[in-house]
Order: sequence, then C-alpha cells, then structure tokens
Amino acid sequence: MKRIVILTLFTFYFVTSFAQSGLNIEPLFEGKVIPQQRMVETRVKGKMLSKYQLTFFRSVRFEANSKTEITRVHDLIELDKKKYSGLSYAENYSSEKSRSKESLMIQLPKQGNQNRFLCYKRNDEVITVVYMEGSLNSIETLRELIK
Amino acid sequence: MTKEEFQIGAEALRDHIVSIAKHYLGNTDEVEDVAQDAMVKLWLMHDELKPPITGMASIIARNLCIDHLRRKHPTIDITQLPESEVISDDGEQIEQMLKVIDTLPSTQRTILRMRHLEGMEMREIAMVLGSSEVAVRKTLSRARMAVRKKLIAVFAAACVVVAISMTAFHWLKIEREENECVAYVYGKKYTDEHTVLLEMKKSMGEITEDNPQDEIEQQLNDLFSN
Repeated sequence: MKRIVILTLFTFYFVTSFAQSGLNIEPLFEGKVIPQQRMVETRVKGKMLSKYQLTFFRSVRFEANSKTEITRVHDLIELDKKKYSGLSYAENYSSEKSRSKESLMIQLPKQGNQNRFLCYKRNDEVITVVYMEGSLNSIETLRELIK
Repeated sequence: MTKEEFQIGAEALRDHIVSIAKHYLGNTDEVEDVAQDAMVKLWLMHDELKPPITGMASIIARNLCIDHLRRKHPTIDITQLPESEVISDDGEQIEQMLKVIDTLPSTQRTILRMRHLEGMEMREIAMVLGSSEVAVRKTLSRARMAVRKKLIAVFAAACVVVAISMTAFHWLKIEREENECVAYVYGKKYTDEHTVLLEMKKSMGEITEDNPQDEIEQQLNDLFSN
C-alpha cells in the first residue's frame, strides 16, 4: 500500500516538471553551470506578469569568473540556436565568442497557444539569460511594454 | 485437564452447552454459534481446567447467550459466500491480514488459525471443538468472508487517503505554479513582490535595452580586428 502511495506521488511530481525543460541551457537555470550563490535568479508566474503579456518568466544573471564559464554558457546557447535554427533571430551575435558584447534572441516553438522566448545577453563578463512564456508576440513588444 | 481428556468429554459437554443455549435463544442456528464459542473458550483454557468442568461450561454458555442477545446482528446467506480466497504472497498483505484476523470473534479466529496456520483438517477441528464438520465449515466460511470484507474496507480507506493526498498535492502545486514569485539573489531567497519584480525588470532591461553606443563600439572593434 505504501509503495502505491509513494509511486503515485513520484509519478505525479515528475509529470509536472519545469516549463523550460528540453533546452540545452536548462542546466544553467538549475545552478549546475554556475553556483546559485553567484547568480541572481528570478522566477515569476501568474497574474503579476499579465501586463507584460507573459505567463512565465525565468532569468539568471551573473558575472563570469573565467573565459571557461563564458565559453560554457555560450556553447549551450549555441546548441539551442542550432536546435531551433529556423526560428532564431540574432542580434550582435557571434559564434566565435570573440566579441565582448553579444546578444541573441530565439523564438522557441509554441507550447499550446503560448509563445516562448529564450534570450541571451553578454556584456563583457556579465551574462543574462531569460526564458519567457506568454501571448507576447515579439521582443519589440516587450521592449515597448517595459518603457 | 489434558487434550485427550477434553476430547473424550467434548461431545457430552457440547450437548450440555447446546441445551443451555436453547433455553436462552430458542431452537435457532445461533445456538450452534454459541456452542462453538463456548467450546473454543473451554479449549483455550483446558490446560488450567480440572474435571468436572460442566459448571464452568454452563457459566460460559449462559454469558455467551446474554452477549449474543445483546448484539444481535443480521446474518449472511452462506450459500452466496465464496469457498476460497486468493491470498497474495506479499508480506505486507499477510501482515495486514493477520491484523484483520485478530479482530474476528474468537471462534472464527481459532478455526481460521487451526485450518490455515496449523494446517488441521476439518475433521480434526470438529473433533477438538466437539462440533460437526458442517458447523466448522460454516464458521470457516463466515470467517473468510469477514476477513475479505475487512480487507476491502482497509483497501478502500487507503484509496481514500491516496486520493485526498493527491488532490491536496495537486491543489498546492497548481496554487504554487499559478502564482510563483521568487528571486534568489546570490543565494538569498526573496519572495516579496517588490524585490522579485525589481530583479525581473533588471533582467528584462538587460535583454531589451538598446545601446547604439555599444553597437558602434562593437562594429569598430570588428572592423579593426579584421
């Protein structure tokens, strides 16, 4: 009987996993690339996002300590860029990692009726990665809404 | 009193108990039940008894009749009862079943144990209890039915607990997921809306900000690096 209860609860937990699962950058959000003590992580879901036409927002921001860290994050983003190559649009992005400033925005495939975005920005050593879900059509719209 | 002495006197003793039971309960099937209960009680204490035990048997029979009259309950049609139960080999289930058996009336419990734990034949059980094989079979069947009913009740209760737990878990998860608001600033957790939204806007700003100066600088760098 106990086994039935435990099995049911575990199944239930794993079925409802995080929304951004499936992305190569996911380990960064989970604190597996950069320790959480060095990051600013934000996770917001619900009504308070409605004015931005979003339903889910998750971001990480940190200052890389070494080129290795920059490279690791860059490579993960690069993998997601390749995975969704038909959907991505780049702005000031270089695959050679030579630039000190780079940014990339990828519109991921829809999940239900939700648009999904993965955004990456590096300004020297400061890296920001954002994952968003919602009815938002484009980053331009978001830019307008934030103003 | 030895086992053999008890077995020799059992039949006469049983007739004596039946006559007392009939006095209280009339000529009903319940007389058989009471007689069996009384015989079981006497059997369980036969080591401590000293002949003659007719007096003790009378007292036990009378008390059982009074108890029986006090808690009279509807009987089950035994023709509709299944003959055997499928018992799983699962240790947890056996443990649960033993607990259920312990809650049965003494006669049913004793016969069930004699039959299934000690592996006694119906004939042997009937002989020990001074009863007929048919009566023993009836009691055993009732005992099995009672065990089955109680196990179903235990299972149903467990299902209800699982259902309630899952509903509560689901509700909490939905509640948490629908309105999540958390920020970890260098390992420190913040859940107040103001701080979280501030951090969120900072990240949004980083992503959406236009910085023509940076772009020009970048383009110049690219130009000169080539």
